[in-house]
Amino acid sequence: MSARSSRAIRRALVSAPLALLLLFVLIGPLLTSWSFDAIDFDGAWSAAPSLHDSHWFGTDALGRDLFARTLIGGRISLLVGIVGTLVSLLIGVTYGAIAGMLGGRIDALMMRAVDILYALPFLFLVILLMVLFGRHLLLVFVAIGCVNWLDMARIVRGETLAIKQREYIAAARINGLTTFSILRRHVLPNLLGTVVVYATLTVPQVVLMESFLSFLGLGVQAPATSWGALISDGARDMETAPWALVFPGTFLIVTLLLLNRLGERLRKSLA
Amino acid sequence: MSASTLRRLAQAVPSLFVLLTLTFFMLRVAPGGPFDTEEGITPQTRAQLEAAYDLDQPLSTQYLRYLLRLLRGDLGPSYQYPDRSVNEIIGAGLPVSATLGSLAIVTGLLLGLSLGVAAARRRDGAVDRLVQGFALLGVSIPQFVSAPLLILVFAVGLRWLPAGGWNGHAADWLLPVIALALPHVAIVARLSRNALGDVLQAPYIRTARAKGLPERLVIWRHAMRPTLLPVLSYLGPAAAATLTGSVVVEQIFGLPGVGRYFVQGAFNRDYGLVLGVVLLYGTLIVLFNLIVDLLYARLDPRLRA
Amino acid sequence: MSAPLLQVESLAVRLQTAQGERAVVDDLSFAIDAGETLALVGESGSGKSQTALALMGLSARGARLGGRMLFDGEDLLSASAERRRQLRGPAMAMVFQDPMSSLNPYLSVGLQLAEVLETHRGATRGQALAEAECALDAVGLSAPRTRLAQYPHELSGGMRQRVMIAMAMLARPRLLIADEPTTALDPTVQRQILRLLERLRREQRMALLFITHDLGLVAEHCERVLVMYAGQVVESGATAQLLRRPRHPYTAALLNARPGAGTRPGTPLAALPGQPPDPRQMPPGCRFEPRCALRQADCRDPGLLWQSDAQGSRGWRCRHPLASRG
Repeated sequence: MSARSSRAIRRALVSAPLALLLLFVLIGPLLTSWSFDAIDFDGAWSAAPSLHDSHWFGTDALGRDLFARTLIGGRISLLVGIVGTLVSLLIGVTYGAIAGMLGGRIDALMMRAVDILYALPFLFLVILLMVLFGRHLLLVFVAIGCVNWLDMARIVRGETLAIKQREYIAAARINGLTTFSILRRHVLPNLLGTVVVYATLTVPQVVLMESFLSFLGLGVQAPATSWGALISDGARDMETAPWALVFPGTFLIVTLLLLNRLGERLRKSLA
Repeated sequence: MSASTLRRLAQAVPSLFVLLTLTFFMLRVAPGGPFDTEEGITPQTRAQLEAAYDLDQPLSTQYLRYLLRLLRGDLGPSYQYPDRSVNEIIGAGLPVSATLGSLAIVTGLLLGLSLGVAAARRRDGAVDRLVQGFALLGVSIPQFVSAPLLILVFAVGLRWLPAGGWNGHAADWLLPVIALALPHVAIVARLSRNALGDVLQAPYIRTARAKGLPERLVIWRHAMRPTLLPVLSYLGPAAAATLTGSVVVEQIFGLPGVGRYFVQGAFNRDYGLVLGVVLLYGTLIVLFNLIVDLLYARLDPRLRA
Repeated sequence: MSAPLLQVESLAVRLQTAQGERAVVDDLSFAIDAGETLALVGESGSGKSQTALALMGLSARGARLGGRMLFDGEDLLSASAERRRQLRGPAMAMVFQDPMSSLNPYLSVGLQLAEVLETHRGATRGQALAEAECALDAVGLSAPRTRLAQYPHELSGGMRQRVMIAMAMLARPRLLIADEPTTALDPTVQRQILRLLERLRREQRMALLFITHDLGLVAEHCERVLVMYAGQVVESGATAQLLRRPRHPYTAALLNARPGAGTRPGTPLAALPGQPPDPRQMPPGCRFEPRCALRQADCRDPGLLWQSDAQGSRGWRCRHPLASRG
């Protein structure tokens, strides 16, 4: 990773709007006296947003505060996004680096397997997995990680093959380093730039997938909530209480927009 | 048929086989059975039902019987809709899904390409920045947000269009097609903008201009083929996914397509139906990848051999 | 004497780059008569290709052009984009350096030829293809009819350059700009292509602007030469004179740097030390001064002017030109 690209990455990572959004989701719930799962028995169900009765985003069909729910749901969505990305990172980098380092027939075989997996309708399989084996949050991570590692594996393998050609790797081999220690000391550090960029591009994909599953009722389960679940609830009552759709929807769109933009900028700075 | 086409076909068989096997055993390993949700069912009736559907047989027997039936093109019975076969259910839903899907794909291609061309002609100009912003927005708005929002604005708010249903009016199609097409438009616009931008730097484009060709010919004759290549790579699998129906869009608009059956079928442990939809999707993926291969060869003479 | 076919006066080309605007051609003046061959010689980056693109109206977007270019009396810089397009082909055409990448790999040879006539003469596809076949025959390609249906990747480098030339000649241009047309080809093919260009020029009374870095080719094929360095003409004149008695030290250095007939094997060539100046920090006086073996104290002074001999047929941009013996 060149000094220029690492500088660009650092600069982009402190993207101000994204940091603001994260901060808001983290400390926002502390600003309101309402808990995300408490029902306001004094207020109206599906109350419109108002500054007076402290339901700033209104309430949902059960009379729960939407401000608290949207931000708490955002925590879950972003948590799944980050952890899911880490899972796919772990699988993808390990698989890709091993295939690239070993090379030859093993590499060919491992990449054939990736090719076959690519042709599978993964969204269907994830839906199936979630339906069949219950809807635990942990399973969301696993399912998403299992889907998203293929791209990462391909990219890491390609980079590893390129790095392997360089002279210092040959030098390390002559000095008697084992394949594993070459991988750890020389290859992985050089993969960092690429991996950071593609991880950034993976986060919005995972957030989107979690929201999708939650929208179908397959993701996080009540009383916990996430943006996808809130949007699903909101869409049901949108004729009477459009704010229940608009607030979580806007948060999700803005988050995806900022993450996608960040990923694209990073990719450009690395190219 | 080129060597690569044949290789693709040969690769498709193991892919489909893995898909089928994986899905089959995943369904059976999972807890629950197709008749768990039936109410007032005696153990005897249940045993009879399971026997009727071969569910009392060992798994390996069931698997082999399924494969044999499949070879004859029979996807078997649906456990949830006893009077209909899976072939019939898919046969009824596919035309709806495929109509909407193909409209969305064509819209995505035509509109996305036009936007991409407009953007690439003046890189970093006002139009380009607008298109890039739209493309970023388009990939960042999930369909399960855009679809309800469209209903909210155009059906509930403005009352211009119906909120859903399937009554054979062209207006019924409009909102679902927009919701389905939006991400395709965005992605095609971005892909074609980037590709055309690069192609326009190529020496052969300078040659075309040096011949005094009008810009219209330079772009649509000389630059379009290489621009379409990455667009096609995206649209192949995307078309397979869109034609099989969108789970979300069909659910929100209440459309009788294939997509809805999938989630319902999975919830109901309707093994035959789920397997049928998965196989349909897998086959379409293979088919569309093949079409993309053939189109690639048509577009790029160097790939014909 | 009638007016020249092309007259260029103080042409300046400034390009937009990431580091800001930079001048790639500066104060360039020359003229070409109908049927004449003029050579534009210089190292890569000296501005010769940018000059050609400016003449064709194909400068990069955001380029700023100054000075005057008169083609057959018509002011090119004030002409509309549409008018410039109409001129490309029937008035002036261009053959590029790399025949591998300059033909469209996605379109058949026949279509790429035919569209020239369809555009400029409103010919039908059939007429255009028939004429394209004759054109391929005229540039010496065997089996021209078969070639029409072929794609560029099916042809060799020399064949592709012949196709490029046929394409440029189709609309019968009055000026052909050949930008290093043989650099990418091997030596035997080079000779054939040059002989072809020479023959076509004579047959069609076409002016030829021949851009090259190879003084050897210049000596054989061109009547007059312009030597460019760092965006400026440093010397011009009739080929024979200029090669025999260069006045500018840069021309002399170029001549020394190439193997001639008199060079004994094993003699090291006098390579020119140093690099051309950075366009962002041009020397204020002579641009060649930092590399010049004969530089003197006043060479850095600004205000260096073009000087010419009594008849005006030779000129140089140097305060201390080499002696003109004889």
